[in-house]
Amino acid sequence: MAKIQTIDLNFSYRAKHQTIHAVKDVNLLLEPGLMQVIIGKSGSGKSTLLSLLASLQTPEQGMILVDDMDLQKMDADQYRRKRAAVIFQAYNLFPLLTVQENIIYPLLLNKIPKRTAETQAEKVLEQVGMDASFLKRFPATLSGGEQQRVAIARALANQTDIVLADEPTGNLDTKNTERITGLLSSMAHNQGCCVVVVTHDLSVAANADRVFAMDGGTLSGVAP
Amino acid sequence: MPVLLYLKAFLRKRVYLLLSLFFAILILLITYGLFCQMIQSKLAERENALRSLPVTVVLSNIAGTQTDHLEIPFYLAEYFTSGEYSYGGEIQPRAFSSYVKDVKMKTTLYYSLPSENMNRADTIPSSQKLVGITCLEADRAISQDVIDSLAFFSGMGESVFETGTPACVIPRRLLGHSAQDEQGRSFLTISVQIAPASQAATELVLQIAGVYDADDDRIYCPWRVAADQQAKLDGFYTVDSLMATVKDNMELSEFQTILFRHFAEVSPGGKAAKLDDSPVLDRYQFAAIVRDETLRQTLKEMDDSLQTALWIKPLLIVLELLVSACSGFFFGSVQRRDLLAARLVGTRMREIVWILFLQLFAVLLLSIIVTAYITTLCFNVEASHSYYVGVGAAASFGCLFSIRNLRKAAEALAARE
Ligand SMILES: Nc1ncnc2c1ncn2[C@@H]1O[C@H](COP(=O)(O)OP(=O)(O)OP(=O)(O)O)[C@@H](O)[C@H]1O
Ligand SMILES: [Mg+2]
Repeated sequence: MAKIQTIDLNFSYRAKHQTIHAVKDVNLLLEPGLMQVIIGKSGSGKSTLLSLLASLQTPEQGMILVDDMDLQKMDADQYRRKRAAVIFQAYNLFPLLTVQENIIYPLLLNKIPKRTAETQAEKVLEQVGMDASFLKRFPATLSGGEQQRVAIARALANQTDIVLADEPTGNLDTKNTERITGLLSSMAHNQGCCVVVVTHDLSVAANADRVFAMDGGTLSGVAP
Repeated sequence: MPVLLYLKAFLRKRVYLLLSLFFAILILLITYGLFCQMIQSKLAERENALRSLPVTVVLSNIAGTQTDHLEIPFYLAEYFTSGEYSYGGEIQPRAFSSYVKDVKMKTTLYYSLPSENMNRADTIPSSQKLVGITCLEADRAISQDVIDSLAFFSGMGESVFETGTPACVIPRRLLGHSAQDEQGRSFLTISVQIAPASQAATELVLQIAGVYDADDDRIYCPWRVAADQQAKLDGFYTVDSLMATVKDNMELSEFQTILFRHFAEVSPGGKAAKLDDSPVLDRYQFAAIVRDETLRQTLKEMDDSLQTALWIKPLLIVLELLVSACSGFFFGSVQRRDLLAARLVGTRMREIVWILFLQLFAVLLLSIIVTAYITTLCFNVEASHSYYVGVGAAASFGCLFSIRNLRKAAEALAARE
């Protein structure tokens, strides 16, 4: 049951000749049990904000509180290992590992015995609508939608209470988009996760419990 | 545990990558090993040449123009033969003669057949040369005809000249003047003089060791015998010519300083090196020519080629370190995707570094062991440990460099999606 709060969050990319202020004074509250979507034009800073929430980047100014604890003071690796599952449009899975190994990898990181982890893998894969025949397959042999479902299954297996997804349905068809969106919102509603999805896709936004709009790095609106 | 899981998967799926890295490093190491072997064999060749190419020392007149008929006094000759060597009134720890071997000397006396034989000696004029030599080569005036026709009696050979045995080699014509003992050995009795017209003479009985058929009247006897006769007649002996071979070329320069204490230095071309400096030459009666041109020439050629090889060596090392670093970089970057995924699920950075290094270490270790095995067993050379460490370090550096920006890459990935 995690709650994330950002306070005057700022971040800039510093290149040699220019500085891009990608996130400006963002204050938002992300709540557990809700499917929250961030929308905005391309380049508005959505991905940057998400990577800050994932502790892949460190804020330049301001802070992120996870359950009232400063994220910057936490071990970033441990945060992703135990608290926050990160799902991107692609490249989420280890190309060298089978579906099963991909799912159990974070469990092993968290010192869960391999046997337990493997049974768990089978269970979560079923939850995302894939049968046991997928267990031994490699990511490269899966469709985009299947890959995303494996990534979600991995988050389910690891029982993280935060799910951060950046365009998880980016190049999927409507059917798969619906499916992934459904899975993500069920994680919020059934598992009580704090689900944050960055998207262009208004159909995803339509399923959201709350929508944040970004524009030029700032938060331009919240609904409802 | 997840590290092992990943490593297992890597070994399973990236066999070719691992193999190609393995062979790349193997080829690098072996190239280097072969190169080292080449240098080593060149060095051995040089050493061999240095040891085996003969360097001779020939005594000459002070101008370096003449090497025979020198009348070198015994005390100078004895530097080459005596086991003791004193210089500046002190006995030196190491004898002059210990630097040389195969000392070749010649001393010339005159002989006539005793008067009782005169009636039979009609064909032999009086006062012919009695030549004392340490070996046939000691007399460079000896004609090829003499050498070709020379026949030793049984039990005799050229080695007789090295001894002090009263023996001789005579022209066949003189056989008629010989006498035989009960064992059938032939002896010749001659009268020995210092100079053709000299009154002082001493009788000498020599066993005939062999005969020659050339048109010559000279009698050849062991140098020791001639020197003894000369000493008997004249009080001391002299030497017409002297040459010696340097025992160990490594000691050549050391020997030269000692040699030129007693003999003027003359270049092999016969030019006195210090002739202008006549006051210095005053104390020398004779000069010495060190014939080391062949050695110098050979060594120069070898050194030149060795020089290029030694110049290439660091180049090769730099190149190989570069290639190692590149393959390390390639190795690391191939796995970037995996490592990014690993970071996304919260693998610790140090575990990621571990993953990379375990693989690299395994590949490196394996190829280094195989190389060490191949090079030492097949090529008989050992590349130095520091070289292996260097290659390993370069590969690791490349690997580290490729994951240096992993965090950045993860961020970029995050921002790109
Ligand atoms: N690695 C980077 N270096 C420099 N500038 C960057 C980097 N990543 C993003 N930016 C810039 O930061 C700004 C915000 O980018 P960001 O990726 O967060 O936008 P976005 O809202 O996710 O866009 P999109 O919808 O196209 O994914 C953009 O102007 C972008 O050019
Ligand atoms: Mg984006």
